[in-house]
Amino acid sequence: MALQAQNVTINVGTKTIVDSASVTVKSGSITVLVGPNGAGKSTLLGALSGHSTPSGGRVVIAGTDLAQLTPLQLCNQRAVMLQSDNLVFDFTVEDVIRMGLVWQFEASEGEKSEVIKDLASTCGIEDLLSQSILTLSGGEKQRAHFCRCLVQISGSHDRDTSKYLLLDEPTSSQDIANELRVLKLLKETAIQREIGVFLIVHDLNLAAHFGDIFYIMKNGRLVADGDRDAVMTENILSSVYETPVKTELTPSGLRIHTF
Amino acid sequence: MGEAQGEISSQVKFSLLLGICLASVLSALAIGGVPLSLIEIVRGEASKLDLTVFSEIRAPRVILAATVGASLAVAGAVLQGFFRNPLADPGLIGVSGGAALGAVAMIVLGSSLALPATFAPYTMPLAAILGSLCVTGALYLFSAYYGQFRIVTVLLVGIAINALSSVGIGIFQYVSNDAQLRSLIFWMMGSFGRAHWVTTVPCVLAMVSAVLVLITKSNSLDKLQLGENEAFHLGVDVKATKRDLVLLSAVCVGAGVAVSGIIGFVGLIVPHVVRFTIGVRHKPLMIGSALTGGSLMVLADLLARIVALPAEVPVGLVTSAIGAPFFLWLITKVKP
Repeated sequence: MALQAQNVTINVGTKTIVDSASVTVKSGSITVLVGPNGAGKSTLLGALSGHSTPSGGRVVIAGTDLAQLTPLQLCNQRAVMLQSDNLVFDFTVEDVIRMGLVWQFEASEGEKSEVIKDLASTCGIEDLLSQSILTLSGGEKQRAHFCRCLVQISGSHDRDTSKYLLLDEPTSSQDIANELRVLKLLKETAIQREIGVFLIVHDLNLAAHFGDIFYIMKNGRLVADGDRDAVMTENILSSVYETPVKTELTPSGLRIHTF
Repeated sequence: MGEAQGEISSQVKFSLLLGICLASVLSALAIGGVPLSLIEIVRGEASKLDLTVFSEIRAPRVILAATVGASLAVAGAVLQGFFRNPLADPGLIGVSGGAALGAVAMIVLGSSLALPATFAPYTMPLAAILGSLCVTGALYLFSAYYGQFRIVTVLLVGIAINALSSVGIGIFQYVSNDAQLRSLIFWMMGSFGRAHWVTTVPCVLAMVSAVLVLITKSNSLDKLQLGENEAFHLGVDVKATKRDLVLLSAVCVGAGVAVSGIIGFVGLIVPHVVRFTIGVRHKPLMIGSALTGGSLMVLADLLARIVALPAEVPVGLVTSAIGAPFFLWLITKVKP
């Protein structure tokens, strides 16, 4: 089972933002997309999520073209975390997380509360549930939204449908400890719940450590894809970022530096 | 445990609101220029005059006031949520003005349409709904084109739209005859003094159904608070939902203005009071706003009727007297 972009092209006006990109997000693994600012990474994620319709090519989820699915059908198969902060009214953190309860099967109130409590505590926000989201710090807000997305794909009764989690820089506001917490949680979720994760991230060391499959994007095109040792090389990274990049294989993993 | 307590306390709050609403309606039915004993009426012991006052004047008026109050308050809650703007009010952002312009156009031009008399109770509300729909639609297109409005921009656009509709109403005033002019003045002030069953029933039905359908959209409106992309990712058909919200809030305001003129600030104050006391999620917010708006309007109208007996003060004056200071206070809180 997989979520696949097949030769997806996205034009905005006369400009081509994504040029014939093909990506496969497999269940149970973390697919990482890296690349310089303005490469078209978020636009590609928009196509994978079904939000933007490709000008060319198509996106399929478990064999079905996304264009044929309603928003309701889609939201049961994938959750999407963007970088955004639009709330103006005093919703509590729990109100926001509960918006992820889109499950299509009957679940008791007790069951739902249990899932929310469990996930909130793994995200480190269990003490904030009754607070207004407007009073939270940027990092705490981001984890609340992360938790909402985990709730969305945590319906425990329908394990037959494969689920996907698409994230656009989910750790951009996190301190180093919480950055690690979020990424470890993603790894666990991917493996234990057979979820396909698609992750846009800037930190190449974290990407190399947590990713299973790698894509590199530049100027709307995918310039490399494959496993870590094929993609995260000095040559490719230096040329993509137009900056000298050094890689070093240590006993604890691959280290990537710019100075 | 906390969850269960929350449930109980919100049940208590809603029962209390319902009680206040019923009490306001009953006292407004009994109190007035001709005091009525509701017990006598129920027992069938009331005089013929009392009975006529009750069934032909008092009852339609109180029912209309309650419905318009509920409808404007819910429209306010929906518009605030839709524009993610705590200062949106149907009056302030020009939606009521658009409705009044539609209604006034129908008063003055309607006679030249030569429609059968049986259509009369429907043409004016339809014109008013169309007028408010033009404004909500225009605001929606503006925000779709320029991106999310800043809080103050909506108000500035509202000033412009209100000015435009005043111009329109002024022109119609100029070309109207005496009888039409008297009708027009009524729009400017806002009053329930012309409530008759024949005009009231269609509008009340329109408002009640619009409010009920809006309540079913509350979940989607909650998700829209996260942003349109996020709402889509959570399963909301964003385009259809926005179209429905624009249409239904226009019906709430238009049908209300058609029968009662422009009554300001109810749509602003009530949702804020309810957010503060009951919560911000749109289902409790809309139900709470309907009950609170209904009570507030019935009481405001009662005050308007009895404060200067035998004369009557326009109810719009009463709501603005309460609402304008509240608006000023809100500006200091929101800092647009």
